[in-house]
Amino acid sequence: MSEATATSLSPTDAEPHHGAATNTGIPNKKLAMWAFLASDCMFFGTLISTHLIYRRVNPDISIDGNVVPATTIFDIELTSASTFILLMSSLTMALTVSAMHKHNVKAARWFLLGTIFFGSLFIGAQIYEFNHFVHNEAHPLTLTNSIFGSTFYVLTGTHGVHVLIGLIWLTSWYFYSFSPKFNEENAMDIEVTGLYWHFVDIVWILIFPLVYIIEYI
Amino acid sequence: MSESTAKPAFSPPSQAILEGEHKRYFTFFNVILTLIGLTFLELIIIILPFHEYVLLTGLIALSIIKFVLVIWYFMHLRWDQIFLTALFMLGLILASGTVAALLLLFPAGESVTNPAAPAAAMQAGN
Repeated sequence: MSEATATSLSPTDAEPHHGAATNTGIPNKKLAMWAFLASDCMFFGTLISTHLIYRRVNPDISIDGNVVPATTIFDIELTSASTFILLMSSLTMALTVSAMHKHNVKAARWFLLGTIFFGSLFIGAQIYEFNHFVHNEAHPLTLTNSIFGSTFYVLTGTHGVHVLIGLIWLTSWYFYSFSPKFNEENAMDIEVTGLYWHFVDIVWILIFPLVYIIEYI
Repeated sequence: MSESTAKPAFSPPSQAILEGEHKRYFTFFNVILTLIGLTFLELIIIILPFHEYVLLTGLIALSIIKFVLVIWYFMHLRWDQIFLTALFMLGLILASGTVAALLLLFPAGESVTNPAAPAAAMQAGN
């Protein structure tokens, strides 16, 4: 059975990891990462729906007794720029994986560095945004002064933590790539890291319209 | 011998892999351009003079297209085994079901905030 699977998954379409020596023909690390991402979908699904439900139940954002429109809190220009930055990081990550498949370590390192750069920019923008919201003199938005603040910070903060974990992971790979132990078997590990990074991007693809843009409609 | 072990162990890739990755290289650029275009469209939607439900539907549709583009091309589902797509879809269906169930369980107007709850008191500015 496994032999048949391996035969049917011959690398006719130039996928280097087809026909791995496992029962499924899929490398175990990759399978585990996809299973984790499937479970993380449910995690973010509940966080997004919690935010949407509270927005619908409490249409007015009340901060210290004053009703504040969300559009006066958000900085859509900054958030849009962050979105483009994260999309660019996804491109460089895809190119990193592609370079690793071609065993072009030098190119992979540059693309990896690009991903780290864009990821750091995104995190920097998010820290600036949170700082700007909390220290806003007219209507400070904190984790505890409104329901909107609680759900907003928990959702975007959880996403930010995911980005931070991804950044640490990518940085570790960058430095490890200079090690003599780094070899072509690590191409699969970097692909798994890439899956995680792209997932962080798709979560933001949902957060951006459902949390930010929706307030402007 | 010692020189060869000091360098990273990477053998030359096969011609099939090189050709496949070369094709993907251009695909990735097309995908990112589409993603950027769709994001601009999301921002333009804000100023369109349509009913909010139309705009909301458009916004969700654009997000779904972007989501699919990333998982299909950047996350290699297009080229990987169908089993991985099925596995991820299982999680996605369960997540979508959870979101839909929660949104239906708490419709606007029927879910009134408990005025005695500390959070509600804080909202009222007491």
